[in-house]
Amino acid sequence: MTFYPPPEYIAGFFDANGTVYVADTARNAPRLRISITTSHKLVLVSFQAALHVGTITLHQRRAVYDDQWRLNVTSIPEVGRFLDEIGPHCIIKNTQMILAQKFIDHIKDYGIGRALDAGALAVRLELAYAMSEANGYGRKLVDLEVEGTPS
Amino acid sequence: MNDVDLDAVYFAGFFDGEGCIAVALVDGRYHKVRISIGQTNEQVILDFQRFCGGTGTVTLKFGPTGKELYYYQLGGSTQAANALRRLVPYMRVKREEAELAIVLAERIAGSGYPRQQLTDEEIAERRKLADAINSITRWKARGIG
Repeated sequence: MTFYPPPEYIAGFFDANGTVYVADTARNAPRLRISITTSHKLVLVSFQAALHVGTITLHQRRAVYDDQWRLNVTSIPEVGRFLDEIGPHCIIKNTQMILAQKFIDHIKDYGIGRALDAGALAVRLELAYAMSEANGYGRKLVDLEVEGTPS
Repeated sequence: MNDVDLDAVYFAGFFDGEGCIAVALVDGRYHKVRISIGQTNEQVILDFQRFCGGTGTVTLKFGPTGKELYYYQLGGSTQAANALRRLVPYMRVKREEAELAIVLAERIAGSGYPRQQLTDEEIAERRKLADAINSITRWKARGIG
């Protein structure tokens, strides 16, 4: 039987083990990502089933401890759904969720990808930097194609 | 959902993600249940302390990168069990060890203070429970005192 966790539970787990961030790419098109990392794959499966979002990948195989699994939410509609359903219940990552919502709203207004004009790109990069600062990394972006995803 | 304790649901998820249930061994003979959780956000740790009845200690530590880490520890077996009783209905990841920890805490509370003279049988029963908890968490009972 599949267990569908309530949004408050997912928010608590996400506040503990999740991250929302903006990844940079070599194509200068910042992308919004949400991920949750844990050694308990089944709990990620239950989140996936409850919210209909993301893909689960093996993040890190470890010799002594359990392997680490990651739920990655990358498509804009799925990120939006996660923000709608889980965002209101988050406490620790409340600021990041608000910034992520602004990022989504900006995408709705200006589109995604590389066709952004300089002004729109500057706004989006500013949101990306604000997200990085909220995550405690200062004003820097993760380079998706060099560093992978932050844990 | 009217009867659902929403604080408990949130903290069950939070504790499943960051929390730890451990059994300490005092003087090589007496067991003590404790729960702990660490987070960079002080307010949530203080809220969790309130959720646990306001007892336990919050200490400030520094992570490997120098980041502030607020670490909450509740060391009294009875208080730890009371907090776990509220969380258990909603826990998924740590439910099994939480239920065992409650049983162990009830044994400890039922026989008075842990340092009183205990029979070898009682100590053996507690050790069994402690081993079961620690085998799930992969911790060895940490000796203190």
